Amino acid sequence: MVTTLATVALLAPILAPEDPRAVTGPSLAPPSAGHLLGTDDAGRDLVSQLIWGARSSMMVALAAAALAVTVGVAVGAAAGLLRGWVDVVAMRIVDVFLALPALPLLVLIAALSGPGRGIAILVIGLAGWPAIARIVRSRCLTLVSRGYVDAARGFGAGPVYLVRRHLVPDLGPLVVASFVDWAATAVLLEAGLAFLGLGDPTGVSWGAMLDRALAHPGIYAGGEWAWWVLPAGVAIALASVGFAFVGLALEPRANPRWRRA
Amino acid sequence: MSGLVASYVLVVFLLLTLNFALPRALPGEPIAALGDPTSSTYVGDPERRAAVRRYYDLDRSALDGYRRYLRDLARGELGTSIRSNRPVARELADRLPWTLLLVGTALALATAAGMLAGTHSGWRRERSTDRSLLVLVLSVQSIPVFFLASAAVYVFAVQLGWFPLSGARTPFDGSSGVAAEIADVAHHLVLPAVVMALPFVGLQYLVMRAGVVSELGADHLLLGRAKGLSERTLKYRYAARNALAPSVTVAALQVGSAITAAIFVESVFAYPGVGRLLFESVADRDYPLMQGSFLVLTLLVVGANLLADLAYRRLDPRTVA
Amino acid sequence: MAERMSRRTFVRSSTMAAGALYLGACGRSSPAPEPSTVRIAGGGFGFPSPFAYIAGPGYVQMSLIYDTLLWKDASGRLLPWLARRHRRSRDGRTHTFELRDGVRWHDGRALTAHDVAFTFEYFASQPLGPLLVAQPRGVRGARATGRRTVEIELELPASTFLEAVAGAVPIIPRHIWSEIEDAPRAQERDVLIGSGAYRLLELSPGEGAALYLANERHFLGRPFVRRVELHPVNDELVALQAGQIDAADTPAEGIAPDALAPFRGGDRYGMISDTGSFSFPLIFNLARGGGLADRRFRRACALAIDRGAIVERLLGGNGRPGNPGFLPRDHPYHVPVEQYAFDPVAAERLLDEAGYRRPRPGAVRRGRDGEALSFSILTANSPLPAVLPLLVDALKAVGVTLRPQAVDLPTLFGRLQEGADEIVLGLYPGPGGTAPNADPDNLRTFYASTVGERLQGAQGWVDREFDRLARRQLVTPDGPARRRLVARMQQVVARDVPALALYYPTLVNVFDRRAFDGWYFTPGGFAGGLPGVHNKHALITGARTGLSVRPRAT
Repeated sequence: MVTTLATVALLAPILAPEDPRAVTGPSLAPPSAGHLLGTDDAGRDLVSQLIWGARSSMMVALAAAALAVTVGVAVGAAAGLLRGWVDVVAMRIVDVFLALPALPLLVLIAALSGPGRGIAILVIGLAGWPAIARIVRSRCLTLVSRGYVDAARGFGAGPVYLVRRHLVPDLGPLVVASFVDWAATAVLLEAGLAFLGLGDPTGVSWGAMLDRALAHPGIYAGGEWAWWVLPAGVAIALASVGFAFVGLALEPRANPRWRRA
Repeated sequence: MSGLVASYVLVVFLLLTLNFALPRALPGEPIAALGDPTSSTYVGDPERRAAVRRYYDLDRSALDGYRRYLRDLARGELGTSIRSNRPVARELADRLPWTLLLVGTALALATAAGMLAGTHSGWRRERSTDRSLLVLVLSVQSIPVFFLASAAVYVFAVQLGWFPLSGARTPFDGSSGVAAEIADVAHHLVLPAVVMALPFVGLQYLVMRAGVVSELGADHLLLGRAKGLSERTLKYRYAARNALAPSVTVAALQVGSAITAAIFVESVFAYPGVGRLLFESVADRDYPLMQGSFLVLTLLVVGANLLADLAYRRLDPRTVA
Repeated sequence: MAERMSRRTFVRSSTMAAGALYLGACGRSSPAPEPSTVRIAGGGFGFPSPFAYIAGPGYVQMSLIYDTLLWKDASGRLLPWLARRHRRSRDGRTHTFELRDGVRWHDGRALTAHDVAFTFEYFASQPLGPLLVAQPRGVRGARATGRRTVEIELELPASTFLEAVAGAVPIIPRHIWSEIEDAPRAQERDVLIGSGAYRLLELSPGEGAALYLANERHFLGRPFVRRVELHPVNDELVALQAGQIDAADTPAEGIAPDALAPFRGGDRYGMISDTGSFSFPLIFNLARGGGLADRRFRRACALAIDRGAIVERLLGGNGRPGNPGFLPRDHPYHVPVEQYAFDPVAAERLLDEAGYRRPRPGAVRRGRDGEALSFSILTANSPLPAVLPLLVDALKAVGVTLRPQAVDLPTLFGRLQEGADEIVLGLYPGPGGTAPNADPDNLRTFYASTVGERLQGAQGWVDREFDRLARRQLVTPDGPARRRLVARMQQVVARDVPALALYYPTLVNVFDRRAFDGWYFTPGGFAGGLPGVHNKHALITGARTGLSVRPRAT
């Protein structure tokens, strides 16, 4: 699913029948041979918007999730393993980030720096790391308390060995779950940001499509719901689900203990 | 323990400062923002503008404003809304119970559903029940909440007429008794709470499932199985219990994102909660109201985190060592 | 409808099995409207006192409790309301009102000329925030010259006084407000003593619900509609369809006919419409210089944009193309002006002549100084106006690039205040100030350079002739002389195009006839230009015009 979407995203210029921003037909035209999913209120081809939307969604999702997981795991593991003041400082920063209502913060960042895809990645990545850090930390604490780490250290194991032999296998499912969850969430958040008008207004994305469709007066009264709202909503859901399944497929490899069992 | 409390006090102080600075860093200002496009009552006259600014304490320097803000807070005063001219405390008192009801119900539903499904799924890993649960939970979680909310309104309220479209209760109908009133509130709560719960099931489910899965190979479980303990005991006593701690953490962490979700859900359902109040106050740049709603929501989140920390210690005493 | 009812009944009986808890709630979720009850959309519109209501919808609620000296009906003319007679002095600076006999406040005290004089005094002493629609602007003072006569003196003999002040400012009781220092924050229920046709019975500000009951002793008699309920809803049309309210307004940005399909056919719903109370203006900021300050460039833009096609495309014809002279075609002061009928070839020719040439075919045009005709266009983001892509396409075709920038409303307003943006796609400037179909003085408030700060209006355009005309029409009473001045003003703005009204969306009101069928749009708006159908005159009299209350069958 993700591969398909990635292919679509990469090949968007070839696949899309029309320029997604150009007015190429009558407005709110129902699906036809010329416009497979009809057109939006301004008369722009919806299939092309959907195809180009895949590009922005995939890019934002992958980049934001990578950012969130990298920062989250680094901070969480540092806090959980090193304990002491590192733990205290890191967790208080996490608390501040988590306690701030995210939305106004996002409004602020987007308003200060102007809307755009880079900003969306940064904002979504920033929103994601604290939660991941916290979960990773709590897992680390459990691990450390189980005694493997102390025992291994007693046998003279270096930190690299410790991380490779014990942490990676044990944190694996969690990290993968986090990445999966955040890539999936990032797709949704990107849509949410666009829905709040914080995306790129001239950009083409699924969130922007959905925003415009749902804001269209009487969207539920005519048939356009079926070819305007639904495809964008389904595309977002599919991309999100796709990421989740990728994560699940990776999970057994990340958890060697389970294979042994 | 006192270290924990002290660090939370520090967090709260940082939040209070951010709470003052953030609204004012936003572009635009209240008097212009209130010039609603559908009612062009914008005040052009400089003298009158100055009078209005003075009345709303907008003419002070940032530092002076900050000092007053802290002093008022210490006295428990939250100021007066610029838009409604009502004390912020009263605005919040009107709205907070509804948000607590909505977020509480939604998270309780999500946690219960996620943990049950996660345990079940993790235990029956790779079997068809697991697979179908996984597909179901993940698919539901992957629908944008504003889309879900508006589709739910259309299907269940407009087309089927099972639930009311919006609001938290039927207005002007206080005469039919307490039981009827509770039923009315519950009836209004169903759609928003379920819609809001759905996106939160997923994480609970995944974490629980991952926890149970990584417990599967754990020694005490193998030992238990060797001892001939029943599947059910193993599943809920051992596997689920050990995976419980992250779940509790997750539930507390979800309070933060639940509040963001509440902004969408409360807006679509015209539910009179603090989330919508915050959204509206941002749109009005109503500084005192923004501060008040920020404050309440952040305290909610910090409180939830504190609870999570405490609960975590109880559930997994080993971490204290 | 019958099918739906039966389906709902079926569902109800099946929920009984699921839980008796829901029984009561289901029965009450959409109560049948009581006779003479009207349910409309509520929301957060503040406390209904003359100093704390919020914007137009808040004013509507406040106006149920309080009366004004004059008030408009469906004819668009001002009726004697609290004032029985009105006289204007020869210099137009003094207006004398003679009050009706026997008008009483809700608490039984008599309403006198002293209350009226006090009202103007008191308004002047309060900080009137930006959300108050009715403000006694331009009033120097008021004094009671008898128990029932009051003289109001103006700073300028403004022709807008009767509509925007006498027909909009609520008269307040002296015996209540003289005790209150801080009016906006006086929000206890017992300050709400007015003389109006309704009294507030319940208010839940958090939920946006309010309930008003008829004042049986109103001076016009027992009001036709006895109970006005405001229900919190999100989408008015959907709420109307679900039977939760009895009348719904379509959004100000307009609506295509398809969206109203569920309400057509059958005789349950009635539909009325009005065009011209909102507009989408494209505002060029002349202060930014370059092409923007060049009249030929702006005229070329007007030629390149097919305004008729925009209305067809976005609204299915449910609106009217914008008029370069600002006032819509059916405005009583409208005169024909240069139309800039869609002609991209002429637009290109005009740009060529003005020295903006394409370096190669299909490229962006550049002026003699080498500067490209590429401008940022600022607009609101949520939702993004649907017309934006059409504008970008239209201007691209003639070699002009628009770079859209969308921001949230407060940011937009902040930037409008700074006046630093190149082109602004405005938002339906509404009542009181610049509704195109209201008083022609809106031409002045939208275009004149002498109007101080304003949120929506021409930017950087200074035309001495226009400013002179604008001032003169303000102090000229309605009649042929004012008509001539306003005609010239329209020609000047059409010639210079400092801003271009793209289109006037049609505002539709759909209502359930079974509850109330007396709705109407007030020509030019009520209370100084409020659009929409919520003129209390309709609810009170049940009639379109006049002061007699329609009898009820009950």
